[in-house]
Amino acid sequence: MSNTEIGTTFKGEDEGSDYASPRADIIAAALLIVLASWYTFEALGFRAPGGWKTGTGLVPAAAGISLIIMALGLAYTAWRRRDAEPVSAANDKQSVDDPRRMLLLTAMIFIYLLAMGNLTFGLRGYVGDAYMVFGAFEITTILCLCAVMKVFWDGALWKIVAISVGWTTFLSITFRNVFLIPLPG
Amino acid sequence: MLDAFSQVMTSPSLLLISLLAVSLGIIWGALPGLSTTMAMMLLIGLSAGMEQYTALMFILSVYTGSVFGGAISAVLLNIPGTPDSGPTMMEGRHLTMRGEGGKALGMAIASSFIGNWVGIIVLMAFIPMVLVFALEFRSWEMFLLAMVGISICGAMSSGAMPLKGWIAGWLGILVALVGMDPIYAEQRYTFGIPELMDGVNYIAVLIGLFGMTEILRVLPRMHHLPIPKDVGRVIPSMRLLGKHSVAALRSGVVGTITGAIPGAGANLASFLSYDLGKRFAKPAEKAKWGKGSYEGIICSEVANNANIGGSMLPTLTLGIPGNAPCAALIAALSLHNVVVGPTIEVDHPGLVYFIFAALLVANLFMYVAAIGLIKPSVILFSLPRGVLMPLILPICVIGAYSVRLSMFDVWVMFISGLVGLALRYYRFPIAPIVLGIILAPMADENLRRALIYFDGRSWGFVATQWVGTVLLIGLIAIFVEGVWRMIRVARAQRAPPAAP
Repeated sequence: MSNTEIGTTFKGEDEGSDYASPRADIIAAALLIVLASWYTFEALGFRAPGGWKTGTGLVPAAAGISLIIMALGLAYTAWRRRDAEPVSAANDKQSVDDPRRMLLLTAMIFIYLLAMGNLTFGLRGYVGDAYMVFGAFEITTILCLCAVMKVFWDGALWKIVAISVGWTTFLSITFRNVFLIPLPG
Repeated sequence: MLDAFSQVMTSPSLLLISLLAVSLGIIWGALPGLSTTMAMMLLIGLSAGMEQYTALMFILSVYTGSVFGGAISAVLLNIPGTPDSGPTMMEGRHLTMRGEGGKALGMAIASSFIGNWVGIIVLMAFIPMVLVFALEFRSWEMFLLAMVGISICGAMSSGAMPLKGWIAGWLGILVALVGMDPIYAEQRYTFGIPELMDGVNYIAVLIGLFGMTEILRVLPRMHHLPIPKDVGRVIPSMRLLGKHSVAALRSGVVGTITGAIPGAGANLASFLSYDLGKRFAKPAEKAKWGKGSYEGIICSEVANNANIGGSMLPTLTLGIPGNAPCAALIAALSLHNVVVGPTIEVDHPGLVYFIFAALLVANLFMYVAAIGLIKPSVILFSLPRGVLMPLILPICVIGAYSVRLSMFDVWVMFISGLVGLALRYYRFPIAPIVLGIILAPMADENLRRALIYFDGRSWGFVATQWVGTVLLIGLIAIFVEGVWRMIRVARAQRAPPAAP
């Protein structure tokens, strides 16, 4: 899709929403039916001491059942379109341009969060009058930003390190010392 | 009102926060790919450490700034910074090519300023009336109102396929019902995880859906944005705006009304106003539409900014978010123990007036900051996405973590990001999920209360609750209209193409 084509017509308040390819819609409907069926099944097992009208599972069950009906509707519309050209094939592809790069990014963020939650290292002390902390958040964020920028930007290493250290330090000081919000680690 | 206004004007810290936040919002909105909603969602967690009024001033100023900011890249880059600046782009790109980019942006600034005024004035005029009316709402009406909010948002967010909007809204309901039941204190879907006893932290979910999803979607893309040409002098011309005053006023009304409809946000406002403007334009002006019309920019920018005031109306009086950014506002207020709804003036006297004052001050700063920030924003356009998007990642982490100081919430944010990515892939809208998450607890509690109240009474009695009956008819109408729209689209797709 070229730049000039983006946003030139109103296609709903959320521009990413539309028909997917019939196959994708059927898969989505099947996943929704499985999820909603489990949700409803669980809801029917909840306690209802004052009768069904005040039961804990009333709204969850109603939501689950109505979601199953909607998912069946989605599957039906997709089935009716099964022989048609995918309505938004180009847009479907637009959601994930390069699955390998997307998976790589997901893995990097996963490792970043895992390390942040498990790293117990931390340096604390005064720099002048300011109480400074250099803990798991700072270490993992600098490393993660360096790695992500190296892969997805490929700028000069000194620039990547400078941006990562500068941004992390700015966030750390702003939140720990100005907003007084503790950071992970 | 004057007290609130003087409270803001005499507080240097509030003024400074407003100026900084408006500037942040303008730059954020100007950068393609960073939407108003994303800005609002990321900033909720960050406002947790602020005092109530400071946080409100911060969030409202960012909102005001970022709605305008989208016009900058729309005019100069030919890419709408926010989706609602699409019509501005259609006219602005031609004006930029003719060397009138600065003048077009000046017109966008003046139009945004006027649009904000229209929205705020309408908000101030109607809020007392709606609040009195809203006090009549009981459990049955509140349940129906919540369902109308979720359903209408679903219908509005997905043009050809309202079903997907409703499904997204229902997914939000499923998420919101996790945790302790408010009536019997029984656990629902917690799997014995202590962190889920309080429910899923919806702020983490919102940050994941709007922040993490965008990082995962946009960062892996290879292409980069072009750097814009010379902007020229930016002159906000009130005289030129005056020439199109009828179009400005009409767009202000359209923007405010669409804002007051739950789920109908700035996107619909600007496109609808642009379309109406084209129909009502004088023949000489009409010839310029699509080729660089200032009136087109006025219609779009007045409407999407007037939308801010309009969207506050259901948000503050009924607790129903007018659009996704207002859902963020509700979340930010809840962090400061403010529950919006019919009793807001009773529970938090003066808060509504403070919001009026904050919006007015933010609008004034928007006018000033916009002129000064256009050229720095242009420099930021040259920033590669490979640099920009990773910088947002730690903000997502801090935002999710800061609410309950829990790494569990950070993981919830990450998983929500992945779910959001899957939903985008399958072409589901995201905004209805937000309304589902926020309104489901209200629907759950009030439906059960209403059923107890109606126990042993006839259907005739239920029908005499006229507000509820009107809402019920409205709810049915939303579904009927949505299904009818799907049938029409399906028929149109099956119809053979017309002969040339």
